[in-house]
Amino acid sequence: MRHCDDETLAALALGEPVDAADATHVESCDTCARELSALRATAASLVDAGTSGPLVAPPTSVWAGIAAEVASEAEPRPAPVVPLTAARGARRRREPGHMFRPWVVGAAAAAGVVIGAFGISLLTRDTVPEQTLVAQAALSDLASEADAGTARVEQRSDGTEVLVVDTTVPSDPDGALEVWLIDPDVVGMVSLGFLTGDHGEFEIPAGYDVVSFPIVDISVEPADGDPTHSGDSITRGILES
Amino acid sequence: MTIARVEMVADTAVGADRPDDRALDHEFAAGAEGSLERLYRSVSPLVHTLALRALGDATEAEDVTQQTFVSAWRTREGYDPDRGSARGWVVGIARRRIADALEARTRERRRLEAVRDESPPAIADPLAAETERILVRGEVERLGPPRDQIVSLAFFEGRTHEQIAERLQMPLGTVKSHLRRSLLALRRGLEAADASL
Repeated sequence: MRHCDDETLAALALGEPVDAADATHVESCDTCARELSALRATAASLVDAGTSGPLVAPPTSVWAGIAAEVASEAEPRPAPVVPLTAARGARRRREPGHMFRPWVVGAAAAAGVVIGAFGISLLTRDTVPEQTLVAQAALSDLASEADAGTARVEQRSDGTEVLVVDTTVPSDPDGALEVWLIDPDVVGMVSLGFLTGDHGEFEIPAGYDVVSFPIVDISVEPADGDPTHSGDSITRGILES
Repeated sequence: MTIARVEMVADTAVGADRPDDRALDHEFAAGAEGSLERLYRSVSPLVHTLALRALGDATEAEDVTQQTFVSAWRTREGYDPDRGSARGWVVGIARRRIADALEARTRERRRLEAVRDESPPAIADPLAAETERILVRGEVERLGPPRDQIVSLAFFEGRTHEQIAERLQMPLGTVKSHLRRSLLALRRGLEAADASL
């Protein structure tokens, strides 16, 4: 017969009555007996934990100390990105002093990990999950102001949001094409990954949303090992819900 | 289909498995603003209690708590949400900090004993069992309302299911269902907590 389901095993571990068929099965099934024994051990550890006192929250001064230590290492620096009106011809690399705050680099690195995992899951997925359109943007070429395709934010059935970019990439860019989401003040931003063809899909890391980061930006990044935005944007659009 | 629907209804009634925690894991890994504070609100009582019971000194326990979270923030690029919860990761850092503090204390005591030419007292280890109890308490707290309260009443205070139902103005079947699901969640949570240490 089928194994007992989790709820039934939990009921047994808590000493509640269950169906006779389930009670008989668990006596003759090693798998279910092992599960039951593990749940009984959990119940016993709960009883044992009752002999210890409740948890003691630290005094408020501890958080103040943490906040002060963390704040002292993340001092704000001038906005590193060229304004929205910047044309492609205006090539200028930021001075080294205008590096991003460390957390932006950290966020970009973490985003890379997420995208890597997502790329694999796309390859192995058999069916396309259900999607809901969250926002979209018309993309413009910043040099010519010509129409340069679209960007859409779609929500997958598992809740993750994905930026889908359809644009015509230059045939001979001066570096890799990197996709960013940027806030309205053009101060905060997050890299979503590199665009390698006319179509790209990028998972948006948790904590970033299109209301706070509505600008889609595609930049040309030379292979110089600098993870920050080059300042050389070629295409932009503003996401609207 | 029927079974799936019944389980969905039960999930809605009893509460799904802490989706907020997963969101926080990813936000913390990405260094999102406010994520450290939310993680602190969630796990600092557990970290502080572990330090307090192990070290027996309020000032030292507060210091270990502070250094644990500062260290967690500074080294967050080494944290991978796919491999476990941020909570578990922080508790792991805390336990290493506590072990370091105890080690430093032992070295200091040995140095003094060598000077006084005394033999060291036998070191009992009631700490491991107490640590386990505190971790279990932490997992129960993490269940959130109303499950944390139901489990506390049933296991820590030894109330019957009927007493709990009456006290919380809740149908008896709902209390039992909460307890079953809590037990399953706690088993998974404690396994994950052990795995991350």
